[in-house]
Amino acid sequence: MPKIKTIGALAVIALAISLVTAALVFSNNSTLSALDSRLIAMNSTLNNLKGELSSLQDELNIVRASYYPLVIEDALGRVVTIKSEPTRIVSGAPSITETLFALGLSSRVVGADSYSNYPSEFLQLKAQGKIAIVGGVTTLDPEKVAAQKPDLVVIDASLQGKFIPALESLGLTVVALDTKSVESAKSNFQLLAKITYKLSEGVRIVDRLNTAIQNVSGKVSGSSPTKVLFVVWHDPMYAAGNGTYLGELISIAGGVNIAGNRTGWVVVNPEQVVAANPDVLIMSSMSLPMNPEQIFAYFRSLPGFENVNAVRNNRVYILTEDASNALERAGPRLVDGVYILGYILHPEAFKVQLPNVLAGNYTSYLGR
Amino acid sequence: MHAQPVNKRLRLSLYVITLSIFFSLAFMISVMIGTMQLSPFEVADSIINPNSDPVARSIVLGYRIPRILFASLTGFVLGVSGGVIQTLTRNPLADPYITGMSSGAALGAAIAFVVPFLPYYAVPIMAFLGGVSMLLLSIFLAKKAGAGPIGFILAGVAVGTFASAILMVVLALASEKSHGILYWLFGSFSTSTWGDLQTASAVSMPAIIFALYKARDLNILLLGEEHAAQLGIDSRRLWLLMLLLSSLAVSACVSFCGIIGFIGLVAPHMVRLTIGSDNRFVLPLAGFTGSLLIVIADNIVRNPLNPIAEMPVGSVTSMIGVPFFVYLLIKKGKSFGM
Repeated sequence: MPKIKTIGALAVIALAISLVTAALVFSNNSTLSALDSRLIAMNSTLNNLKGELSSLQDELNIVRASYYPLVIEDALGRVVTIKSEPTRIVSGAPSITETLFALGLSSRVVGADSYSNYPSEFLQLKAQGKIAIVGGVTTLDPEKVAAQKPDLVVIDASLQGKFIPALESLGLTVVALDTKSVESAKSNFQLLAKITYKLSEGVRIVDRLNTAIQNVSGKVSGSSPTKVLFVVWHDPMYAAGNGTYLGELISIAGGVNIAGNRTGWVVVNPEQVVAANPDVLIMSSMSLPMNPEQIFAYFRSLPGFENVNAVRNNRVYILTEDASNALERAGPRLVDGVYILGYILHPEAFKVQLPNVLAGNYTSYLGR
Repeated sequence: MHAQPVNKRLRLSLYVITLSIFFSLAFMISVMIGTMQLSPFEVADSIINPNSDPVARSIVLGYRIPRILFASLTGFVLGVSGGVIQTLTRNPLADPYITGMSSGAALGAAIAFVVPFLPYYAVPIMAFLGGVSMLLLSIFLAKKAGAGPIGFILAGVAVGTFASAILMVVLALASEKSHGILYWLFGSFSTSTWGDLQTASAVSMPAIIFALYKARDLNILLLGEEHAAQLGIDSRRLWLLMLLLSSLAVSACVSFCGIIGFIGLVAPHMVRLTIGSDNRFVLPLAGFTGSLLIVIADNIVRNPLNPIAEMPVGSVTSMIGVPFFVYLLIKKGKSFGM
C-alpha cells in the first residue's frame, strides 16, 4: 500500500510538473509570438522610417540642388545673388576670415587681408601659399582679389564698401558685412552660414555667443557696475564711446563706460579721467606702441592718476595680440572677449583674477 | 606810411590794454572750465591750500595751468618767430614753418611713433631732431644756391615737401598707430606737463628774448644791407642768427604740442595792421597776440559744451584766425605789407 501511495504521489508530482511545464511552454510560446509580432511591427516602422529618410534625403537633395541661386541682402542693403555653393572665397577682414574658418570652410578660403592671422590653420595655409594676401583692410587690391578667381568676396561694409564698384566691374560676387555691433556679428554668422550652406554650424556659433553673453551678464547682474575706460591709444587717449561695439560689450560685462557720454570713438583728456575716476582702465592694441611696463609707467606719470581707482588698485589692464583681437574683432572669438571683459570688470563674480597683461596666452586664464 | 606819432602811441596803448584784458580773461576762464567746472574760489583754494580736494587740485595744478602756460608759450614763440621770419624774408606770407622745420618735426615724431617700444618722451626728442635737421638742411641748401631770401624760401619748400613725402610713406605703413601720429600733427595741449613747459621754455625763451633784443637791428635790416653796414651791423650774420634762433624756439615748442598752424602768420599781421611795422613793438605784441589766440582756441577745444571734445587745436586756431585776418585784409588791405 505504501508503494501505491508513493506511486500515486509520484504520479501527482509528475502530473504537476508536466502541467507546469505545459503551462510554461504555452505561455512562452505566447510571449514569443507577441515578441515576434512586435518585431514585425518594428521592422515595418523601420522600413517606413527608411523610406521617409530616403524621401527626406531626396527632398534635401532637391532643396540643396535648388538652394542656389540664393538671393540675400547684405549689410549695405544690396541684393546679391549667390549663383552656386561658394568654393573659392576671399575675405576682406580678420573677423570675416575667423568666421569662415569657424564654419569649417578653411579649404575654401583662397584669399584674405593682411591683418587676418587666426586660427593657426589659417597661418599654415597662408604659409603654404594656399591663401593669398589681397591687401590691407583699408587698402584692398581689387586686382589681387580677382586674381584668386573667387566665386564669393566678403568684405567689411564701412572700411571696404568703396571697393565694391571696382570688384563688381571685375565680375565678382561681393557681400558686404557690418562688423560694428554684437547683433551684427550674430547676423554675420548666420548670413555667412546661409550663403555657404553651413546652416547647423552657423546656429552653433550663434548659440555659443548667446550662451556666453547670458552667462556673463547673468553673473555680473548681482554686482554693482564697474566704471571703466577702454582705450586703444595712450596719448591722446582714444576711447570707445557710446554706440561703439566695445561700448556695447562693456555694458554686457557689467561696466559703465566713462566715455559713454559721447558717441563713437572719442579723444578723452586725462583731466576728464581724473574727474571721472574709473575703477578699471583697459588699453587694448593688436601691437602695443611701447612695452607694457612703459605704458603702466605712462599712466602713473599723469598728474592726479595716483588718485584714480584703476591706478591705485592696480586695475590697469593691457590687452594685446590675441587677447586684443578676441575683443576687438566681431568674430567667433567674441565669446572669449565677452569672458575676458567680464573677468576684468567683475573678478569677484567669477572668482578669477586675470593678470594685468593679457596677450596670446589668454586662453589659459579663461579656464573653460 | 606817415602815421601821426600821437595817434600811433594811442593805438599802441589801446592795443596793449585790450590784449591784457582779453588775455587775463581767457586765462581765468581756461582754469575754470573743462570736464569739471570750478568756481574762482575753488581754483584759488586748490592752488593755495595743499589739503584741498585732491581731484580739483590735480586738475588745476597738474593739467590746466601747465596746459595754459604751454599754450601761451607756444603762441608767444610762434608770434615772435613769425614776425622775425616775415621781416627776414621780406615776405608777408612767410611763417615760422617756412624752413621745412615743421615737416621735419612731423616726420621725426611719426618715426618715433612707429618704431616699436620707444619710451613716450621719444616723440618730442625725435620731433626736435627732425625739425632742426630739416632747418639746417634748408639753410645749407639756400647758402649753396646763394639766391638770398627767395633761395631760402625755395630751399625750405623743397626740404619740407621732401620730408612730407616721407611722412606720407610712414603714415601709410603705420596702420593702427596712425591715429597717434595724426593727432600729434593736428596739435594739442591736452597732455602738456610742467616738465614739457620747463624743457620747451629753457630752449625757446633765450632765443626769443635775444630776438626781441635785436628788434631794432631787424628794422635796420629792412632798410637794406648797405644801410645796415653803415650802422655797423653785419647783416648776413644777423640774418642767419635770427633765423636759426627763432626756428629753434618754434621747434622746441611744436615738438611737444604738434604743428599749430596759422598763428605765426596771422599774429604779426594783426599787430602791424594796428600799430605799424616797427619791430620793437611788433615782435613782443605779436607774441602776446599769438598767446591770446592759442589760449582762446584751446578754450574752445576744451569747452565741455563742445560735443566732439578735444578736437585739434590747430584747426581751431585757423578757424578763428582766418576770419579775423580776412576782415583786417579787406579793411586795411592797402597798408598791408612789411
